[in-house]
Amino acid sequence: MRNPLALVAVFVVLSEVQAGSPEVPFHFFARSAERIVEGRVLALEPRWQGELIVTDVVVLPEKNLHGAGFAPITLTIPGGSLGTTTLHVSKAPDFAVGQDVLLFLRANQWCPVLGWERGKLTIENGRVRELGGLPLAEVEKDILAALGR
Amino acid sequence: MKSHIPTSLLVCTTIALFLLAAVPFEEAAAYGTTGSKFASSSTTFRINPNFVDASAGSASTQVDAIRAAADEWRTTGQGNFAYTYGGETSVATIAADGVNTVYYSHTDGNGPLAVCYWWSLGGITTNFDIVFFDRMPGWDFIWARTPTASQFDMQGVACHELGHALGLDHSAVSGATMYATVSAGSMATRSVHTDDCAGMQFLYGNAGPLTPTIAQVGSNHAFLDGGTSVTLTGSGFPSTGVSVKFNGSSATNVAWVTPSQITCIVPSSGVAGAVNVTASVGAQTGTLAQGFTYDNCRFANALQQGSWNWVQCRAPGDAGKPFLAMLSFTGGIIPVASIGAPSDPRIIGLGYDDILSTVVLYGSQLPQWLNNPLGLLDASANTTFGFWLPPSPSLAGLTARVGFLTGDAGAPSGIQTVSGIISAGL
Repeated sequence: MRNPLALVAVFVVLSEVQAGSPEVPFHFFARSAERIVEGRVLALEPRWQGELIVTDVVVLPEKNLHGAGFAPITLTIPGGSLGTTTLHVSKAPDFAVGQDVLLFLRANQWCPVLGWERGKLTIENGRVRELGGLPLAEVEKDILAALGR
Repeated sequence: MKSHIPTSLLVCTTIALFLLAAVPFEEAAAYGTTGSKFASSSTTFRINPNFVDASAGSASTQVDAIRAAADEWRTTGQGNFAYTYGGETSVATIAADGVNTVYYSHTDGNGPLAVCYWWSLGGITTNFDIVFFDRMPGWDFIWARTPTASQFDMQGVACHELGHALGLDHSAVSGATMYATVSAGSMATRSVHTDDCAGMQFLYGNAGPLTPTIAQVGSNHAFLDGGTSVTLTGSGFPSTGVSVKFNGSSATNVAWVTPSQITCIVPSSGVAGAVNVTASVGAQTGTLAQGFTYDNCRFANALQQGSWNWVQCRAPGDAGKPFLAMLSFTGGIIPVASIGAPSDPRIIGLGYDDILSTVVLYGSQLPQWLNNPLGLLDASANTTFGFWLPPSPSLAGLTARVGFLTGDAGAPSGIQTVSGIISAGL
């Protein structure tokens, strides 16, 4: 039997609007993503995009919960540092090379991570850090359940 | 068409928030900082009041909301930094252009309600822009000056994003403005929390409270009993710690609206006439001299024809002494006496845009005093008397004034007038 706290905790993290963001139920969040993928961050490449700094985050997919494909994904995230200049962006997800992540994604967005920082979960030793260390397997089951699978 | 939050969502959210305390990582910590801040003690920002939701109000309403959010950081945060409003702008882009802009984007933000972008050079913030979004997948955000349960608070969210521009990261304190999330309908993030204040003062030092000023007291008259709610407009009102006094007596229910507006309940007074009003924050006090007037008399009901209309008066110090009450009517800027000849039945009182006229009786439908208008104050210096207004001819829209003269004959203590607009009879 699944841990009932798992769904509650996932929901808690994703259900409120960041301030801002709005309160969004977990299943709604999962269903709104075009792709839900687990993977490892391979590289971070900040660059200028016009007057702005963005960071290309390369993620190697290891498991698809929604969507398909295992080719590296490049996510262009607003913000980053070049030299002594930094563009800070509130709500932008932080990535680190070598980090294992679970991502809710939508294509063709200014920030492709749905919910920005709330749509990026960090996996550490088979557990999800932002969900109080809940087992990843429990989180995956809840996501699949939200997707009707 | 704007969508609304599904009931199931609200129920689930309530359950989730109820269970939040059981999740250890959500326990309170303290403010965080982002590693950059302004080098000076102020910066200028502009507002593009381009929100489209009707509930967001007019351009000036939107500007007021965002400005209140900015003022809150200096007023209540009390750090040595202040946002200075630089006027409206039509800019609606993110750019390191040296212009700090707050604007709305009619776009899908893919999650957040609003985002702050700020540039820093070697840890010094050089520019910021804040963008509010219209929607996320499946949810259109409705922005409001005063949000209902399904709307979002422009002022509160602006206050949060302006905190980021200051250099504050999200706080783990759930009541803080810099807490990461906000619920629809909540206005809690409008007023900064002690945790936010600590963060701001860590970054910029403690400048202490501003000296409050009072420019105006709305509805600046009240009967001696007080008890009426009034709005004070001015500046430097923090969201906590303001006390208000009328002639040295403390007002009650002091409530913060914005850094430039508070409300309170007027205390009673033992004397009539104009009094000073003060607002204090710690040792800082601002005074509006003669800014409020206590009246000896008040109408106890909305004036209406075909009814008895009651007047309550009190003349402290004149207990048991005689009083004389008089009644006259004027209509707008034109005194009734100018409308027609003295035989005009509307002319009940004579005199020219003034009170203290003689009551003229006519026909069978006469203004009548319930009590003899010439009477005695009781042992507490009170009296209540009434006058009956005939249902016709129409007096609707005219101003009725009661003059109240008290004291010993030949040495009256003073004259009080009180006026009200007459509505049509039933």
